[in-house]
Amino acid sequence: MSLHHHLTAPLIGNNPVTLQILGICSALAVTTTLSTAITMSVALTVVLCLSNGVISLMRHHIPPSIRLIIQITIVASIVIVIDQFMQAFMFEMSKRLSIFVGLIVTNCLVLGRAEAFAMRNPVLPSVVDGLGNGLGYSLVLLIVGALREFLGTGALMGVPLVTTAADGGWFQPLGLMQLAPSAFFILGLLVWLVRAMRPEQVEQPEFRLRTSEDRRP
Amino acid sequence: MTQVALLGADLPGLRPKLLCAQGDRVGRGLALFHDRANPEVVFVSPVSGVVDTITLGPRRSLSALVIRLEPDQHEPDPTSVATSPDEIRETLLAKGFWPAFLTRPYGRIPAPDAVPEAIFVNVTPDNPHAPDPRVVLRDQGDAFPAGLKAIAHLTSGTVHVCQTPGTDLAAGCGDRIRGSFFPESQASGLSGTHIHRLHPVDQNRSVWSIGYQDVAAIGKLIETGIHDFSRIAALAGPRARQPRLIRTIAGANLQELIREETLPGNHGSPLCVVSGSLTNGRQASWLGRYHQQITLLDDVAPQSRISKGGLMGLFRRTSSQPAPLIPTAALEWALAFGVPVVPFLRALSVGDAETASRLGCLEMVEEDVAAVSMACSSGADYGRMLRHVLDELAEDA
Amino acid sequence: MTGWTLDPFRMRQRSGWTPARVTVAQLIALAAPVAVSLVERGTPQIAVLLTAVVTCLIWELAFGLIRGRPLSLHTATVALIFAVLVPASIPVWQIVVAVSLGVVFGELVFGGRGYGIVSGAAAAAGFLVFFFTGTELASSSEIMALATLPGLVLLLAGGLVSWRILVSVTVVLIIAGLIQDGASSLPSVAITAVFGMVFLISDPVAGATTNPGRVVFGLLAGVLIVLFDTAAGPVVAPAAVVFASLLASLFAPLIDHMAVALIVRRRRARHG
Repeated sequence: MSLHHHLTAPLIGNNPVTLQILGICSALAVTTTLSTAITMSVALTVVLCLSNGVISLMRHHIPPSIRLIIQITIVASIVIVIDQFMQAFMFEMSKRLSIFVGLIVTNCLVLGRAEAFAMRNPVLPSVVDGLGNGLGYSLVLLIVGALREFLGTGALMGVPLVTTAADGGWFQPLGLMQLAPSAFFILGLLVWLVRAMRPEQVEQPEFRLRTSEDRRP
Repeated sequence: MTQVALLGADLPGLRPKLLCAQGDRVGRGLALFHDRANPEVVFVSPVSGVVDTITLGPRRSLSALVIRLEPDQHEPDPTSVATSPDEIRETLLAKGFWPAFLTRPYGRIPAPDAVPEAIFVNVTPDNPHAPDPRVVLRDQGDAFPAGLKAIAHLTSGTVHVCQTPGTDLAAGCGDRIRGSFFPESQASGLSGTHIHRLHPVDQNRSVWSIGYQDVAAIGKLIETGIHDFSRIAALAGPRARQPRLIRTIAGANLQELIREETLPGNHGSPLCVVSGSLTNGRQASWLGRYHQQITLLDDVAPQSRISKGGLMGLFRRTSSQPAPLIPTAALEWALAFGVPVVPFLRALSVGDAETASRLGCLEMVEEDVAAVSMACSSGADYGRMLRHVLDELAEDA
Repeated sequence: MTGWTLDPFRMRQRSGWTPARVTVAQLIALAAPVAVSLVERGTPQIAVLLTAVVTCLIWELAFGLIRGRPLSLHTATVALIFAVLVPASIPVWQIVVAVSLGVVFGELVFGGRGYGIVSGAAAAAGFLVFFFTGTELASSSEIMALATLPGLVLLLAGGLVSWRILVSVTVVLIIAGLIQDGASSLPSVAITAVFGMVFLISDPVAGATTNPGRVVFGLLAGVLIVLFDTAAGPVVAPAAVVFASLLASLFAPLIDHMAVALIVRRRRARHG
């Protein structure tokens, strides 16, 4: 498996959010505006790369029975550092993201990649895998954040693109976009779109409606 | 009558081992094929004649074995009367009367060594146009009671004689032969209803069912040694010229039978010949082995089918997928087994054998869900789906 | 084998309900309420009605072509129910958005009528209230409630709505009405709740499908209506009925599952 594959596969073919359905919680919470989405994406990607790298470095020395505790400890340490960094240099943004930076520890994507990849692979591939998954996650967050901010306020990154009805224009913002359920709907539509383009990602149902094409084998 | 056929459609899931070939001369009662899985279960020729054609169906099952009648050279000698239970069982197997029995659950021909917990004799008409059993049995003499006593030897339990209210046809036949009365209602003519009321079945309990005409034929065989495969069938339907009872043979060629019996259709529509009743029968050219009725009705002329093309064609296109199942009150009344209808039909529609079995599909065979198929908005054939599920459950059993 | 549908001769013998006949019955039942809404709200209502119907039919056509399904007029009933529920002051583009989302995500995506979980009209009305916050749904007048009754009788007589659901919802609403505002409030409760009860909550494909389940479903829907009712006084807010229908429909499979488990347990006990 080449490094290039690790980097590009998680973008669409093996996207952590739309295919593996990991990391949904933060995808709902921080996507009300595009800027918070970007910040969260960068934070998560950095954490993913670092945690994958560190865990991969230690992978031969971690006892299997306590590996989850050790992985979480490593991830938590990295997240605390990132959190302190953001509070020091990006105070406003850190206040808007509030607890969600700290909650990267619980993001199933981080632990998922650590367990599935970093524990069995050398350092450089692990870091690149972390980068790829982080980019895949960021792609989804950017799309959802952009849609929610634009349809909810008529602006992107705080810059108004269309005049809202409140300012005398034609655009009526959709109030639902300020609420979390809209992220669910957008994610659902995104998953539908990706699986329509890549039918191999569709899960097989346990039962199908009997039609005349079915025959007993 | 020049042709008679043994049909694979009457024997679902049966793989035959042929004992004859095309062109062979066969006498009445001669074995034509037996079940590959149970070689003792033999299927015999109902008439003397020549084997005309043998058609095999998918996966080496039988489609049809057609015999052309020829005048008898000699009748087979009547065999001695059987008395003991083992002799009766052997006689029924060897003389081709074993397929008269159907197990419940699964609706298949029983294994030769199986002993059921009870036997249900169906002496009820299953729809208003079916022959009245009391009329048919009136001139059979002692054959019916003799048959009842004979089949009582096959089980250690009761033989339930399920009949319409009236004189008890099972009176005086013995204490293990009991008459039960079922007033005429929607499902009163089906063995499934009788079994559900008197002796419900599941994976571990099984009973057999048999029709009254077969019981009379068995009685005749045991008493006199003559095997008689004739059958009284009712000719019915809107295009039957003279609806009445006729004497014929199981597997008779229906086209010959009805040659003089049809009324011309309105607008010249072709004839649709159904073996069996309207709800339970099938469109066929031969009388089914378990059918007692022939229904004649109008068919749709092929030219009158509206063109399927274009936008308007989208409205009329019938897909092979069933239409939506809309729960209505009529649907709740159509299935009589105390089963929640819509969950049951949904389980059948996706082939969920486990759920269907939990809900009670083992008590039913195709004829029991025929009324539901007619009442359901989806137009799905739940009988076929049930057969599929039952076959799957039978294999796992 | 010719497939899993009935043989043609048996198909022709079917005299009971087919999907087309059910659609016709529902359209007839809806005719009076729609006419009353047109008279009461005037010409803007015509635009609302036409937009809803055209949007629904376009989506039905699109899904029919893409997924290869035969077309039906069923989505027209969704459009009609929606048109009665919304006031005439809603802008046309909002109606298009709400109806599209409702009919696509409520029904068509799952396979059409009978395959979805919620009622398409309830989904459309729900989307309208969610997306365009501050929108109020139209409340029924006495004449509208009276116009619903012939349709109710027709659907009950044909077995297309379950009396168990209707009775249990009514019982809960009566008890709640008596507790809150006394017996004098019952007429206004009846007037404002009846359209939603008949066409949203009792939708045959959106409710529970077992008979004991239907009683529980009706009780649940009634309790939810009381809970969600934000309008002051005895009048029932139409949005309450819509959201009660949506939430109760989501619980319907669970209710059925438990009812089936009970029925199976009783069967097993009876058969030994």
